Amino acid sequence: MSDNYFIDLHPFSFSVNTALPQVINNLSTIYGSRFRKQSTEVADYELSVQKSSGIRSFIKPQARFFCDQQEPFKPLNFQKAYAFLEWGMNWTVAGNEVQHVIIHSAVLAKGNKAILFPAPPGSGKSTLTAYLAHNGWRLLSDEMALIIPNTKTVEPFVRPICLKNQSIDIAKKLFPDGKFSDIAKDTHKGDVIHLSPPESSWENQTNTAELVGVVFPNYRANQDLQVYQLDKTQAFMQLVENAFNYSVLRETAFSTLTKVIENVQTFEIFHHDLDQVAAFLEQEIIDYE
Amino acid sequence: MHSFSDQSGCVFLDIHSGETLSILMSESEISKVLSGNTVLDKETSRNIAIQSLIQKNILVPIDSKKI
Amino acid sequence: MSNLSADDVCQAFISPKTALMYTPKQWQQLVLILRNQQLLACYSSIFKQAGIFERIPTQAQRHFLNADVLVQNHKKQVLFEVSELKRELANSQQYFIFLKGAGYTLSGALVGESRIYNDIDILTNKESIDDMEKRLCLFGWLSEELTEHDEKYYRKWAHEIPPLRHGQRGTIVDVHHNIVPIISGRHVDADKFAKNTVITESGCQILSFAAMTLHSLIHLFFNEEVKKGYRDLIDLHTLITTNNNKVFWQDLITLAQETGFELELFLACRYTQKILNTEIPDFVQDEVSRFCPWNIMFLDFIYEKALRPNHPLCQTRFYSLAEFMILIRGHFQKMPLHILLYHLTIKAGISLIKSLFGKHVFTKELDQP
Repeated sequence: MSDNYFIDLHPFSFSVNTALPQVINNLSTIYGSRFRKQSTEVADYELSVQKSSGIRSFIKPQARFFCDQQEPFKPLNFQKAYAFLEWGMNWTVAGNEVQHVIIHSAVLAKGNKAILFPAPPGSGKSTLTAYLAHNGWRLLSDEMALIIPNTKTVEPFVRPICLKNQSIDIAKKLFPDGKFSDIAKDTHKGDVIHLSPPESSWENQTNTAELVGVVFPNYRANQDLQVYQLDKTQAFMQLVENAFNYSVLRETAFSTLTKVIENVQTFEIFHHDLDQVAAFLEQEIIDYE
Repeated sequence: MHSFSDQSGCVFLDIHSGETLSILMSESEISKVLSGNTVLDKETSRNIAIQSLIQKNILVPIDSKKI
Repeated sequence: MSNLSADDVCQAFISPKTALMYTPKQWQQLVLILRNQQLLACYSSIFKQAGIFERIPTQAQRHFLNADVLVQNHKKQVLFEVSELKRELANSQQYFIFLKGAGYTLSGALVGESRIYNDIDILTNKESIDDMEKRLCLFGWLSEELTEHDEKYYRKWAHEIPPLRHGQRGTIVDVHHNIVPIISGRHVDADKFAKNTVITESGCQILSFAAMTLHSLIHLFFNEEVKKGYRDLIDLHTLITTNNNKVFWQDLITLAQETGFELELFLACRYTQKILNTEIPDFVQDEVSRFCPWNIMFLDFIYEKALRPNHPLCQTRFYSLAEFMILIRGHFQKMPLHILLYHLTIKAGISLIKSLFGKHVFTKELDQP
């Protein structure tokens, strides 16, 4: 029988209806005490992950995702059900929430100074995110940065870090104690694993931070750290390209992002050594002011 | 429109279509072109960008004969 | 506290202050039901008008505010698409009238204020429809992939060509040359509607409010689908309430008689009044009561259920039965029996395969998030 679970993920909450042990176990590994059986809590969105029915479900079982009675995606291989739910949660937020300008980007902070890392897949963003989160930085977001309109304040939306392909082995070596989900094999992003950020990030789940930098990372094998200052027009246009709800928020998003870009440092970096990156970020951006 | 303080360029929001456009010219450079004081080489990407902003009625030439 | 019922949701529309008694849980249920029915923005404006918006619990309030922003954006997008369409069709000889949602938005009236819809509907005459499709194709509007049967059905029997989707922007345009299928035997000369139009300030042709209301009620009561029945009923309520004058009603009644949709007009008056307390003037009541059908008890049974908010959280008893009967009734009204049987068998065949092999056995590739 399927049960209702509640996930409290500031600033949004979800109820998840599922009977799949795989989904329940992964949610419990990743979200810890923030994941529980739903009792009287009221969730913002009702999600559900189910096994699809029919003869095919015996030969090649599939998982279906629903958000408030809607089924936005075609079913996926059953084995990917948990990853599917994570993407479904992203979809739900991206499609409904417009109280923040939402950027496809990681956000990490030292104290209350935050840096935005918008980057396409393959840029090594998530490995960098995982590394920083385990080395004295606080994770605010891995994929969805929530900026409060007309400020440079970021609202945390702490979620697991999504690692792909080769970075899975690297991460398992780097963080032997990390809380990892099962691997979802052969997704459109390749093999995917979710890693729960350290407890300190969860504890600060409701504390906002102020943006001081925007850094576009690019992983290059055997490349010593190279840093380029990005001019503001280019940096702005790249942020626009990475914004989920920019086209909905229009003027609000435009003025918010121009304000952010005007008031932060903007860099593009090419790197191999994560230690070097961390040192650069601290010296040149965090300690700069 | 927003003109960035590092003079790297200006960005525009087309309120009608919701489209965002950028041009790598400072505000003062743009107004020189619009007033006809600077003539851009027709082939350059800057000229193409300015022409497309004019077409979308986002920029308006100050003296239309010269542009 | 108990779960919110469909009646509670209607009651909140009629007298918004009743919602102030809700528990946070009930507010959240309201949000879920309304989001599903695409009515969040509509209720948001009702609560604002009643001056109680500030008293909604913060968590629920956020969802109404989200809906406000989404609706504003939707409106701007529609106005942009309409201006593009106008430009693209500017040199053509035929008329084109914006119907339904886009018509509501363009009218500038309350009915278009908080409406979200998935496509832009255009009415033109039958002779021009191919030309219009070709012309739109040049500007990047292409027809979507359909099963072969659907494609045939559309072109041969239905009153429209398959929906056209804009390659870049993803907007969908539906071009109609009539307002009900041509084989139903009740099709109206689209020109009758074309005569009852007005030109908006921005130069777009839309139906007059009387014709718009008639179209809206035909759409609701002559259709086999009522998933969004409650929302459509609210549209009718809003159209009636904001145009409640003698000329409007006379035009509406005349037009309904000319086109043969008196029964649908009667039903519209009956259920807006029963479910949403809509004020219908006495002379209209007298006039339309002549059209009361013999099977009114049967119709009451299905419509009083099917036109209320439909959501698993608040589904009324027998809702599914009512919905099914409307499906049959809708098909029955639209098609001669032999075609109906053929259409249903093919559809049923496809559903059978789907239920055996899983719904998505036909899809060519996975559309992943």
